[in-house]
Amino acid sequence: MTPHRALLLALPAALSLLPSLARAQTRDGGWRQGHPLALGARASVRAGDYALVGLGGHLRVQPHRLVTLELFADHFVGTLNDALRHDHEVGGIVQLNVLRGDSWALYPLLGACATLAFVHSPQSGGPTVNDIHFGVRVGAGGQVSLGRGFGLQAQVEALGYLGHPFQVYRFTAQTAPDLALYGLGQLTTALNYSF
Amino acid sequence: MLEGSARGLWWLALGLGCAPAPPASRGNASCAGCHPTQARALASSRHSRATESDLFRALRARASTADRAFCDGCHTVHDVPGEEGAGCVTCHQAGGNRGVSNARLVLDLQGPVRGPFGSATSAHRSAPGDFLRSADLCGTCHEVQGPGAFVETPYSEWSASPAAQSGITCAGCHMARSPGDPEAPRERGPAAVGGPDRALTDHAFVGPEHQRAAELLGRSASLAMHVVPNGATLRVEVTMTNRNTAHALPSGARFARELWLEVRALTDQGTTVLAGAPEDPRRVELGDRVTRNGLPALPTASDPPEVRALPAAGSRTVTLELPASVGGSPVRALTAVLRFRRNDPRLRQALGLPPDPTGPLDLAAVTHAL
Ligand code: HEC
Ligand code: HEC
Ligand code: HEC
Ligand code: HEC
Ligand code: HEC
Repeated sequence: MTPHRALLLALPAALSLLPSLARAQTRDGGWRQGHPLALGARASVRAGDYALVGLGGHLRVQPHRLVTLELFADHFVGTLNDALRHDHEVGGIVQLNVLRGDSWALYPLLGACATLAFVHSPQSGGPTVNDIHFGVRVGAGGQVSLGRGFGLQAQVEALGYLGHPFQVYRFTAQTAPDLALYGLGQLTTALNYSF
Repeated sequence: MLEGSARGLWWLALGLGCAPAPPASRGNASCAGCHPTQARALASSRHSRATESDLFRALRARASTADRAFCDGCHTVHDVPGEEGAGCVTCHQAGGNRGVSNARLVLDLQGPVRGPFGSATSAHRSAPGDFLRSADLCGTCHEVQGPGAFVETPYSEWSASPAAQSGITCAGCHMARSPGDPEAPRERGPAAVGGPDRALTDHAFVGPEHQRAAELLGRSASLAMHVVPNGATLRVEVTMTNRNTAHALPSGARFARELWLEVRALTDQGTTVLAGAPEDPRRVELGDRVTRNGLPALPTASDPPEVRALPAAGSRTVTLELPASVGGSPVRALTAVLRFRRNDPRLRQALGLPPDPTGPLDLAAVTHAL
């Protein structure tokens, strides 16, 4: 077995241990504040300099009751001048659970992400371009417990990206040589399960 | 310069460990057996002779190594031994571009053959070619930006022209049965051996360097002349009009062209050139002055060419003060002629090239009797 494969197998094994670790902690009224690990499925819409809708997932780790780290991966789609645009995004945010109750929390957040964005010209067999855009995000969100370890989460973010502009029209697709800044707003809702 | 070359795809496929059968020959010969009409016409066109001219070779030799690769992006794009320029697959398997200039064509060599009919044939996969039928295909090579100030701009001129507004593309004139006339009925015949009759296009791409240049150039300009006797002189107003509604006259490689106005006087002694002789300091010219310093080099940003072309559908009137008599004989009639030579002799001389054997062509003429 290659070291690569071994690592891939070891990872789920390690993850499956974490829930039992988590269960060792006290439960408070179904809301598992103290539980260090949650997985979530999420849907997002973003609009501003361009508009896309996305689906993705995240892993939430809570090393301290005030702090949640969220690592996410999303896939966005949309159109750009009749061309198909799709973005693969990975990133992380830090949430500060400043306002908390037994079954809810509100937090400001700060994060960063990297997006591999593709644009396919509308012509079949036509050119495809891609570029990596780097982004920073600030925002606020909250979550409420639904019981049985499930939680509902919603957050709004302001996103700023740096990347090369896509120039797509009719039969042409290219990236412009100079970098540009993009501003967007994003709304994300997620269903989480904490172990 | 061309992306997605078969060789690139081949190596990529090898790298992924799923090698397809090597691509079939992309040469024109592989299409010619079934499409002899198009192949014969294309062989006569400049697209098949894009490195043939000694002027091209002389200018390319003077360019830097990087700029030579740039020249080759358009002039030797078709990397099939024995064939050069734009070949069948260059146009019929182009999927789009990365900008309408500088040969930024994107080929889709694994894809279907793009055609105007969208017909199904067992010979090969075909698909309707929106890009093929657009001016953007042509503009990808017929819009040159640099090096330096070395520019050719037929596509951008066309984009802003009346012809573009009425939907007349480059092929409408340059692939017409009667070159330059988009209204001319298309020739009918089989598009492939044994195929049904179709409305066909002419793959000769007649331009000023083609052996049929006169057919196209005869449609390119008109002249009008107004003469007012003024004592011992004649005040002559000549209006030159570009009849082409699609782009400037001249366009494209106008740094290479000599296009000038000649006024001849008819007297009892014979015909004399009164204006427009090569040494005439007030000679009216429409070709680019290659570089301002006159040296045989590609124009640079600091030494750009001087553009004197007539814009699409545009006119220019020049006023000349000419003698009313020649050698004592009164002028009986004046003839103005707009003349074209494909290579400017001054440029050839500066590059040390022998004179161009092809003589001048007359684009338009007008005579005024006195
Ligand atoms: C983006 C495409 C493109 C590039 C790059 C390009 N050319 Fe051309 N060139 C053309 C086209 C198209 C024509 C035909 C224009 C015409 O006939 O008016 C042409 C015509 C010419 C001609 C006149 C025709 C002939 O063969 O004598 C010369 C000379 C020439 N090019 C030289 C060069 C040199 C030298 C370079 C490199 C520095 C170069 N070109 C780069 C597209 C290109
Ligand atoms: C410089 C670009 C170019 C090159 C090179 C070229 N074609 Fe075409 N061809 C066209 C365009 C454009 C059309 C469609 C014109 C229209 O109908 O609007 C066309 C049309 C055709 C058609 C449809 C019938 C007809 O004649 O209109 C056939 C078949 C064809 N080409 C075959 C070929 C073959 C075979 C070659 C090589 C020998 C070739 N072409 C090279 C641009 C090109
Ligand atoms: C074995 C014969 C054969 C060969 C080889 C062949 N073709 Fe064809 N091609 C055909 C036939 C038959 C048609 C259908 C003609 C029709 O429907 O009028 C056709 C149609 C086309 C058309 C029109 C497609 C459309 O529907 O608009 C184009 C363009 C074309 N061929 C280009 C090429 C090119 C380029 C090559 C070389 C790479 C090539 N062909 C090689 C037989 C052939
Ligand atoms: C309305 C008809 C018409 C259309 C449309 C048209 N042309 Fe032309 N073209 C002409 C005529 C006439 C000439 C010859 C006179 C001249 O040089 O301008 C010509 C000449 C040319 C030349 C040679 C110029 C030179 O002096 O070296 C090139 C290159 C050219 N055309 C390319 C194009 C391209 C590319 C398009 C589309 C973007 C186009 N043409 C559209 C009529 C047309
Ligand atoms: C792959 C690049 C390429 C494409 C695509 C292309 N051309 Fe050209 N074309 C050239 C080059 C290079 C020359 C000049 C060859 C020379 O004379 O050295 C040329 C020459 C010509 C000429 C002849 C000009 C003359 O001086 O006689 C005409 C007309 C022309 N092209 C029309 C077209 C049209 C119409 C299209 C689109 C259907 C087209 N071309 C697409 C590269 C291209």
